[in-house]
Amino acid sequence: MENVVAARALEKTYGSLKALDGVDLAISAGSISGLIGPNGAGKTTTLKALLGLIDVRGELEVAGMDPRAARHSLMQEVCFIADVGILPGWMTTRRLLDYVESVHPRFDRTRAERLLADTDIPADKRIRALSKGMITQLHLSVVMAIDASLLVLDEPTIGLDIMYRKTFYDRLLNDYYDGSRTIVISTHQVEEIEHLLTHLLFIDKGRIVLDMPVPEMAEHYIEVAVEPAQRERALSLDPMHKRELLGQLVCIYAGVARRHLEGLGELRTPAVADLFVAKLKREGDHEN
Amino acid sequence: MRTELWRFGALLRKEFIEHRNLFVVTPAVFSLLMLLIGYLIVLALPESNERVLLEQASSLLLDLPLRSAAIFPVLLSAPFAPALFLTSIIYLTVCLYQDRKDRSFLFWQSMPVSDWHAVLARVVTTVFVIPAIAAAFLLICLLALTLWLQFAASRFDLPFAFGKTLLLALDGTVLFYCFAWLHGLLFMPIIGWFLLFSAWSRRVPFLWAVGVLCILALLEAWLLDSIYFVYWMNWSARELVLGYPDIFSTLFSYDMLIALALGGVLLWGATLMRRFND
Repeated sequence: MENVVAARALEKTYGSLKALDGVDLAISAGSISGLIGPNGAGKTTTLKALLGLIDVRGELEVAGMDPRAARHSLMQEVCFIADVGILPGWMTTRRLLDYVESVHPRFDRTRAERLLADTDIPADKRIRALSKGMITQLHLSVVMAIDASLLVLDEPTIGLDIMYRKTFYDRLLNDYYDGSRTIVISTHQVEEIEHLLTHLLFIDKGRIVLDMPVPEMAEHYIEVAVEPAQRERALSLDPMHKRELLGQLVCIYAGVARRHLEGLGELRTPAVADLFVAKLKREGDHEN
Repeated sequence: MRTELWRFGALLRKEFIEHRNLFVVTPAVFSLLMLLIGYLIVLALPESNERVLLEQASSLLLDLPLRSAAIFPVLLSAPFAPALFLTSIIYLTVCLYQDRKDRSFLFWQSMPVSDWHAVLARVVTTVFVIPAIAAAFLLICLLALTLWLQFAASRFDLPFAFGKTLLLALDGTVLFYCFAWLHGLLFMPIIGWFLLFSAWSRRVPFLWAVGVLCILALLEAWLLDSIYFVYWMNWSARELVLGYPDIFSTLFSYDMLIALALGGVLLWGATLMRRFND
């Protein structure tokens, strides 16, 4: 499948801090990729690089363009929502639509108004007077009315209550994603988005530590809730991560054939959050 | 199909709506003050003096040729120049800084608008839009003055050249607007300088812009033993209030060429700052 994002050896430093340390990325068209990492891992820096908002070293192509050289052309193909509250507070909803309609050739105002009609957002109220949830809904409605091939979301639901968070992702999936568009979501609230994702990207200390499609992940990583009697055998198979849960040993294995694990206990696909912790601890152990 | 010009117009509309309080309130306050001061002066005059004053004004307006009488509205517009300068400096200081401060910068950057267009929209707003608003208020003041003169002249049964005065008011306003954008172009280095600091500084852009200017002036005096920089600033300030140069010769002068070249370099710097200041 064609790649919408192709990056090789991206590097970015802030003083002595290496924010990106040789990031390689390949995001295929039509995927929903989760860029997952702890605070300060380099998620926002990576996304800013993809959007051409910062200068980075390395090879980079987004939607067939180099974001560093053609940011404003790229923005016809790419939409993004950063964490809530970046809409200009002095504007009213109507003026916001006027502005986007004037400058964005792919904006469909009728669609935006139809999407907004399903919300409680008033047209003539200033954005600063709206609640955080409403601002996010407004931004999502504007973005969903733009016919772009790539949508980048950087912690889009941070600071929102659970109702708004759920509505946000439901609308994204039901009203926007059609299988041809590509979505990249950066978050550390993994549980909320893992059911959406088709591709996983884990980032830590400016490096991609996992880059894998979700179906492949389910084949490669297996979690076992180990029966007490199988404890010694389970540990002898070198789990990449182990933890005690309500007195039971739970292990995650990487690249171990399912048939070797059968009989140890209940086998399941690890939750993304658990795999993320396992992977980061593993990387940390390797460094030490 | 939206043309590039239409899109650029949208940027100018956005600038006007975002800063309309500053653009409209400052000249409005100046106009009101001027009208109030004029009214208080007239109130303070004894009726006989008011008549003498009106007689003189009326005969001057009647007798003087149109070209010579044009000096009156020009003199009356002089207080608007500092107001215009103040409005422009405040605008230039905040226009690229404010959206970074409130983080709406990320929204503007998510639109297909180049950084160069974003900076150019600020320049056009400063050189052409802000003076146009100030000129509109000047015209209101001059029209109010014309109406008052007509009313007062008829009260004292004096002849009054209403049509000629009206023409002078329009002529003065057009002249003020032309001088305003001409000075705007001539002061392009100042516009570029403030935009550079507006795009660069993380806080107090005004202090940075003025502070670095002072440091440069001190360095020049200390290292080169000259005060050309201070001289240029002094000339600029005088030119702003008192200078009414010939429009065409100024427009195609070496001074203008140098100003536009230096301003262009600073604007290029402001564009880069907006682009990569993370």
